[in-house]
Amino acid sequence: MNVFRFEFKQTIKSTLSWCFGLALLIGIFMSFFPVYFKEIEIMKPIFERLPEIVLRSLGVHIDTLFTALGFYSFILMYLHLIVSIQAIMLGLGIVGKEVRLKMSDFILTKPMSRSSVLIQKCLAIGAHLFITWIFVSILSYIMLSSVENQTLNFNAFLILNLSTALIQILFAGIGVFIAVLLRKLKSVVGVSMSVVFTLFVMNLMQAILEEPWLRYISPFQWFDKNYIFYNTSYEWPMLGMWALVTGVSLVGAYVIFTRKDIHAV
Amino acid sequence: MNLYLQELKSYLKTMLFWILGIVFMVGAGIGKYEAFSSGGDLDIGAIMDTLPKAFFAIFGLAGIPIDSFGGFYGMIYAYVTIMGAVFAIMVGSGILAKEERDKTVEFLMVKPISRMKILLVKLLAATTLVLVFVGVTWGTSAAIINTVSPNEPITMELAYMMIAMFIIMMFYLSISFFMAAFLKDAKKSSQLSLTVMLTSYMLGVIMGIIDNTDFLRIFVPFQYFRVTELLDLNINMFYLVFTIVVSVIAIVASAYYYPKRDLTI
Repeated sequence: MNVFRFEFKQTIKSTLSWCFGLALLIGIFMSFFPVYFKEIEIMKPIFERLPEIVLRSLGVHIDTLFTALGFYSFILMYLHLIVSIQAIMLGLGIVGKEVRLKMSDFILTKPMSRSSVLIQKCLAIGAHLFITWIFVSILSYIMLSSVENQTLNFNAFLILNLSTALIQILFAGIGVFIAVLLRKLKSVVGVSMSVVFTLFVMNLMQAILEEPWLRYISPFQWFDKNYIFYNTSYEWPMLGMWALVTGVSLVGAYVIFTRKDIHAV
Repeated sequence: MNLYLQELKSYLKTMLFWILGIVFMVGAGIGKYEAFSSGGDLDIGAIMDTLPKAFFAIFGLAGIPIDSFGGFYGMIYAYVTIMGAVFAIMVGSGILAKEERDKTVEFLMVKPISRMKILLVKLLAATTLVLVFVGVTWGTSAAIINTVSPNEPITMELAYMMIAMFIIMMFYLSISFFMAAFLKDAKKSSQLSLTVMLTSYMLGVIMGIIDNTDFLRIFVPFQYFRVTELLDLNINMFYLVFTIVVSVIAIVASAYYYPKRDLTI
């Protein structure tokens, strides 16, 4: 478990600063909820009178507009943006480190199989993601229960919160896959930013494009808040996409890494 | 001159991918105008004034009046600008730091050109890349607007938006260029640039949903030149001067520090 311990220690500081940033994000945004709610309260009776079919056709659930959890589900998009950048950077950074620093020979001449190296590295990534996720979950729960003025829909919260973990795993998987695929990795930040922001802007553009097929290739669309509020579950086709992309990335990374030609310099 | 061409060549492949992305974004976006303009007969502008911004953000509407073709294009402009900032940061933090990262810095430094000249040529190459980005966006937009909606020419509005985009990109470029010139550690400088970008983007999101947050504007380059102002053919003079001054300071500081600092070999 040396590789695991080493990689874990190397990045723990950066994980803590990510947590700090996420805490600021959640703290600042959620503390605005009472102000928002005061302004919006007058609208509530009007919306409550609308039949559900109208709301559905507008694409909103009444809870997304008037509860703290709804406000949280809106912030979640930006939370996902941040955690996905962290996750893909971890994947690329930890697995791609030897390629980037041209020192693959160093680690591969150790008396360890390649699969053990990769698995330990992935475990280290997982540990960092888990720390971040636990931190985000606890903080979100505390913030939510302190500003929520109705009973918190705990199931919906769990599902929303779990989607953060799914996004983390997905992007870490993509990062690991890219790291083993590339012969040389130049800039971790550059690759991470381009991949994540391309998908994120695709998600924003969906507001204009409204193409059903685009939802399948834009991961930020996979955990739709209104669907979650209506059904208290994930959309199965989208969850299927998640499993497919994550599975292909991780299994693909394993298959390629254990048998590819690795150049010593 | 050799260095300049070499730099452009090394970014050729990246640039081609970005050009494809821009053409897709602009093309797919403007192509949706027909469907978009016929769909909504609500007077969104009037309703928007009476409600807090957050309501609309949560509803999934952008804060731009989309009652005209210019307003509709403004949304696409906003998305492309986000990608533009990502591109500018990637180039700005990479072009100088990559020599040290790829261990080619000795090779470059023993050539009979001064460090100052290297710095300036690289800056020139980076500026050229930004110009290509803006030029492609401008060209594609103009061409597609002409075929989709020849009756509503928005030539001047488009020109203002593209100039604003160029200024914002140069602003991010010079800041990340300075970080790369000043800091010895390429990894740190690119992470710092990423932090700057994410922070400014998130503050922009806060501005988008909370009323009375104009004091944050100075930290959010995306908000320096608002679409509503650009559509009135009005460019905010204060921020124009501010961005130019900050960019020039960043570049002068780069030219001051880079020739003096120790290089990582």
